[in-house]
Parts: sequence; structure tokens; C-alpha cells
Amino acid sequence: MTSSALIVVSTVAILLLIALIWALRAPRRLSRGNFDLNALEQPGRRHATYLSLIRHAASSEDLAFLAKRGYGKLQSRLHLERRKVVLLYLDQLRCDFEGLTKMARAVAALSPSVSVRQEVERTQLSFEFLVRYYAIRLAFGWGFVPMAQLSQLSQMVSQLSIEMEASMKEFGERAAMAVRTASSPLDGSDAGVV
Amino acid sequence: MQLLWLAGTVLQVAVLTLALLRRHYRTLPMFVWYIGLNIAEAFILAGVYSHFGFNSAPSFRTFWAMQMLVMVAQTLASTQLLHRALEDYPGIWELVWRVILVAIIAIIGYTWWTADGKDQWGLWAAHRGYYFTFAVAFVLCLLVIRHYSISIDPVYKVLLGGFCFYSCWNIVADTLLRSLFLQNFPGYADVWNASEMVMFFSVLVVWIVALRHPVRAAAASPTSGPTGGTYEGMSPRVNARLRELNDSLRKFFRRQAPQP
Repeated sequence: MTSSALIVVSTVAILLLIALIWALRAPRRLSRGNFDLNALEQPGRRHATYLSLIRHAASSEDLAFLAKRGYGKLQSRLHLERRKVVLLYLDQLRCDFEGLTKMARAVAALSPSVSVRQEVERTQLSFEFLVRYYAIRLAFGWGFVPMAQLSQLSQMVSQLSIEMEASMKEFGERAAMAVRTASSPLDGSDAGVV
Repeated sequence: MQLLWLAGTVLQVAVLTLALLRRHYRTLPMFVWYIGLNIAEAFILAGVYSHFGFNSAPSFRTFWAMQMLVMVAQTLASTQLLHRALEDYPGIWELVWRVILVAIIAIIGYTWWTADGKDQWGLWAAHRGYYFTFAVAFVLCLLVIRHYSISIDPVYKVLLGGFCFYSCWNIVADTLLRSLFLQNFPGYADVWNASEMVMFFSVLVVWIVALRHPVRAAAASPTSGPTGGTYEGMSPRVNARLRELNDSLRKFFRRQAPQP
């Protein structure tokens, strides 16, 4: 009984120590001075916008046409190539999503107040995205083409992108207001210097 | 055991001296109080033990009373460390203190439940519960900081890491103590004492190495306002802060769309 308690407690302590070491390791992207501001300001064209092309690439109509014409070799080659493209698209969606969540964390870190509810929702969203991502990959591995799920995943990235752009706009407005407030007593390049 | 006690006191005096020489007391007063309290505890306990004996009731009561004070000081020192580390990130600090609060409430509940007042092991359970609370709360905070890719000063990192490491070891040592007692292991208390002291020494040595360096940002930007109370005293500081603000905003807007 006592030795089992010792084992359990030691395991918990070791897990805490592992978490501590991981937490104390220097992050790759460091503090506010090292946040990638370009990433904050370049939402750009997300891969989710290519969904209609991917849907077309995943459709079986072209393949059926080739099969009907007797181009069996070409059909299998096209199938393989298109499969590669869809998988590449899936990977890029994940990259986009990770970039957006990283940006969201950077904005949260620089914000004067962080909403716990929003952060929890964001963590849930990340978890949901990962689950869906791996489910789609698994389905591809088994030869299925889960287009509906892929559309939902693209929708998630688009939605997050829109939310991030709104957040960035708000962030910019707040900064502009701060400039106006700081420069109101005096007019000039060194705004507000006493 | 006396040698261990002497070595521990010397190391703690070294930590205190470094903290004072490097002016860490300005940014981390609670940490300095914590070390000072530890040194005071060592001397008070040495006096009580030599007068009443190691296994007497007054020694037992004095030890636990001092332990309680040291634990409170440890919590305050660590919270201040985290606050200092996150003073540039008020949003994250808001998040972090809530994490500490939730962890404290959850594990105090657990400790209350396990530490039966009539049980002779009640104090032991409370002691282990405290370190469990501390380790979980502060490791969680460090994980939150890591999640937001915030870089904190190496001095703060080492001090916080030392507190967490020592707490993790205390969880194991307390469990080991009970296990050895129940197995009728001779000198179980000595094993517990020695293991705790050796771990604390290693933490003190790491702290000495860290405290040789000044704190990067906090020393340069004390949160306390101007103390002079005169325009001449305040104006240069206000100007400096405004210039900092101007620089930050210029950097921010440099990448914005061209002005009309």
C-alpha cells in the first residue's frame, strides 16, 4: 500500500519535473521584441480559398472520363497526383491554422487583458482542428475522399482568419487611439513629450 | 547532520549577500525576506533544539510554526517573481494569477480531505499538500508563459525553477518518510531531514550562480513612480517613458498602409 503510494507520488513528481523543464526551456520565438510582426500584418491569401479547386481535383468525374476512354495508366497517374495535391493542401491548411493560432497568442500576450473564456475556446478549437485533421488523413490513408470534412476544416481556417483580421483591426484602432491620446497635449513629432 | 546544517546556513548567507550586493532586494524584496527568514529559522531552531532537545514538544511546535512562516514567505516570493516576470504582459498576468488561485483552491480542498485532524499524520499531509499545491500552481503558470512564447529573465526562471524543483522533491520526500516509518526503518527522520537539506543545497547553489547576474528588464523599469514629487524630478522620467512609447508606436505603424 505504502510502496504503491510512493510510486504514484513519485510519478506525479517526475511528471511535474518534466513539465517544469519543458516550460523553462527557451521558446523559439522570444518575447514581444521578437514577435514576428510581419506575420501579424500579413493575413494574405489563405489556402482555404483554394477549396473549390481541391474539390474539383478530388472529384471522380475526370477519372471516370479517362477510364471510359481507355486511358487506364493515365487515370491511375492522375489519381495519384491529385491525391498528393489534396494531401499537400491539407498540410498547408494546418500550417495556416498554426500560423493563425500563433498570431492569436501573440495578440493575446500583447493585450492589456486576456479573456479566459476566449482562450479556452481557442484551445478547444485547436484540439478540434487536430482531431479533424488526423481523421481526414486517416480516411485518405484508407482510400476515402472525405470532401465534406475537408470543407469543414477549410471553413474553420477561414473563420479563424476572419476573426484574426477583426482582432488586428481592433488592435490597430486601439494603438491609433493611444497615439491620439499621447499626442493631444502637443503637436509634433515627439508626441506628448513634456 | 550538524555539518549539513552549517553548510546550509553558509549557502543561504551567500544567497542573501548576493541578493543584497546585486540589489535584487529592490525588485524582489519578498525573495530576500524568504532567505532571511530561512536563516533566522536555522538559528532559532538550533537554539531551541540545544535547549529543549531534538524530540521535545517545544521543538516540534517551533519547527512547524517556523515551517508555516517559511511556506507563506515562499508563496509570496514566488508570486512576486512571477508578477515581476510578467509586468510587461498584464493580460497574461491576469490569466496566471487566476491559474494560481484555482490550483490553490483545488488542492487545498484535496489536502483538507486527506489531512484528518485527529490523525497523527495531519501535519505531514498538510506539508505535502502545500508543496503539491505550490508545484502544480507554479508549473502550470510556467506552462502558460511557455504557451504564449513569453521569454522571462533567466534569473527569474532559475529562482522559480528552484522553488518548483524543491517542492517536487518535498512531495516525494514526505511520501518516502511515511513509507519508511510504516516499514519501521531505523532513522527514517534522519533520512527525510538529510534528503530535504541536500536538495535545498543544490537549489541554493543554482540560485547563487543565477543571482550573480543582474535582472535584465525589471531593474531598469521599476514600477514605482517618481518619488521626488517635483517637476524637475518627474519630467525626465516622463519624457523617457513617452519617448519609449513613441518608439514603440513608430515601429508598430512603420508597416501600416501609407498615410495619405
